[in-house]
Amino acid sequence: MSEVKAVLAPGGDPADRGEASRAKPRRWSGIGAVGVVMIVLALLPLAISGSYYMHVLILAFVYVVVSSGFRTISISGQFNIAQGAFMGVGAYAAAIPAVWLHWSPWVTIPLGAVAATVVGSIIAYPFARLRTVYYAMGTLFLGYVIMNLITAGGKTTGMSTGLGGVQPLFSNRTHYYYLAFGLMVVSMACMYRFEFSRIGVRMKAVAQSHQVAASVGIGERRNRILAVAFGSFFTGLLGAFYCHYQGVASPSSYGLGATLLIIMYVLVGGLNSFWGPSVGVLILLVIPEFYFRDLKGDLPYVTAAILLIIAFTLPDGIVGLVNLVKNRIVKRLGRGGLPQQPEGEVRADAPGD
Amino acid sequence: METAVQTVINVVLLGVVYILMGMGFAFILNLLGIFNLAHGAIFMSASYGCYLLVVRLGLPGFVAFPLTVLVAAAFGVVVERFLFRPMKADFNRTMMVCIALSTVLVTTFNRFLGTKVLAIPPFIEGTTGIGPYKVQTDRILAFCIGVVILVAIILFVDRSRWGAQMQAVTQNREGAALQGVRFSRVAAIACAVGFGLAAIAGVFMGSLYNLTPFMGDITLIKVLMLVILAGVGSFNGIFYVGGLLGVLYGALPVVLNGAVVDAAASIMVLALLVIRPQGFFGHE
Repeated sequence: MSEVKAVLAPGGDPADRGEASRAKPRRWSGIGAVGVVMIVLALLPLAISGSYYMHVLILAFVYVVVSSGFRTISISGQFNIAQGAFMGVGAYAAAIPAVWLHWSPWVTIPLGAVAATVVGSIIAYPFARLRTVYYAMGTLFLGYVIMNLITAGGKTTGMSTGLGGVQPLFSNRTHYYYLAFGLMVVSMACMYRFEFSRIGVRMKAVAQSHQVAASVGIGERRNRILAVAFGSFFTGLLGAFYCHYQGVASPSSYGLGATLLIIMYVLVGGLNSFWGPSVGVLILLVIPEFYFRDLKGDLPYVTAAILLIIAFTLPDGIVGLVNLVKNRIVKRLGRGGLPQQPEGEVRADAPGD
Repeated sequence: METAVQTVINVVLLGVVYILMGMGFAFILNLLGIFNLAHGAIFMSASYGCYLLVVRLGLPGFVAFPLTVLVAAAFGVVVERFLFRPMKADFNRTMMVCIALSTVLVTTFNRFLGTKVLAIPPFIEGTTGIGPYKVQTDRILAFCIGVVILVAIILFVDRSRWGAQMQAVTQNREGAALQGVRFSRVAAIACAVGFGLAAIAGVFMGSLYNLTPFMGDITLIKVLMLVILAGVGSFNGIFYVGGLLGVLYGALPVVLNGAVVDAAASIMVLALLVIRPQGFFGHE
């Protein structure tokens, strides 16, 4: 572990070694915050009665996991513009057996996750040759191809209108809420564990410089495929859940538009931190749907304005801003600054190409 | 036989559209290192812009067409100066800017004109006989303009000073700078030319088919297909592959189902990515 860290910070950043001891109180406060949010979310169905709010929150849970899956893929330096299509693979892999073979949703939802993993890993193999902008271009095209092939499936996939009549899991929306909540907690826990493990550090090394990583025995292709497989598993899982919840798998929910929405959530929240995608979903999905439903038509303008502000002033997104403010306060209190990007740089434009 | 003449014209027009879009996209990608997701939105806006100039303001097509292209080119300079340059080619930040730009354009046109079925009216009415066959004069005019523009682009890239500078920067940015090529100016020219070419393509497409606010998305994907097939950094490749795609999408749907053509082309590109990720004509 320590050798890899040294690779990540060539020049032997002294802040890196001291990080563990200083980060400890912060981590406890982080666990506390996550715990409070989870308890609030778990008790929320008792407080809110409107099924619309419940619906928005279920959607939010789905998109939190899907956009975190995007970020999990991106920690190995891959900007995957086929995320919506991976979700679609999961959804159709669940919907087709559910509709035509009448399989139970409890079988088809894991099946969707497995299908997305398999498709993702197979595709990741040739794409591991492409880097940065070319990877992004290739995957954008790939997303289109996947959805194209799915809709070309004739009656089996319902063509461009989508496959309706996917049997529901429950009749009660509160049950859906708790299932989505549970799936989100489990998925986020797995992705957190993945990112802050030895494997996650390897992926970040690959993202920063595949040549340096290769020189200490971290294979680029293997790690990149693993990242795609891991990220697309949870993407497919929630995609499958989503289509059972909606009762229909329609290609328009998984096309380029959907992928761009996911990317917006991630970029607004912050690509470089674990909670970025969740914050992005909160800001771009939950808050507008809860409080600003009457400006639905103008919402894209607001989103675009937020994106521009972030692009110009805060490349690390809202979470980056929070870290910055926290850093200032800590400094003012005289406890010494925290490193500004405690979770390491994650960029698609790794040097050394 | 009439179908044959029509098909030939369609092939050339589609080929021209793809080549122009691909060239513009490749200029911006090669010179600025920016994956311009908004290229399709510019294309769409130009065809709506030309429609508005012709139908709402009543300008003749011969004025509206160059005006649209000039406005798009000027917009390209503005975008380069105020949106692309401050981002310093950082991938995530340029992504945000491009998504924001594309969102604004698509939402605006979708909101005000999205629900209507619109098409740019023909510049010239009537038909002309080519031998015994009758073809719309408008199409023939578009055919001629398309060929002229292609020749002009080849001359621009191969023979002009700016074209040479752009090629130099594509090959080696530092080396070009040492020879006295000013990068910021070349980048501005690339954006202006790129957006201008997208506008020409948009007007062509708008005179061939109906306008929709989402026509840019599908064209962007065709452009990606073209750039992947041709290989990054290759201007000649774009010509050959653009012609190929024109034949594919202009001629094959006459005999085959459109979905089959699309799937076949997609699989071809994916197979190429596996075998030769640098494209037919690329180096890298």
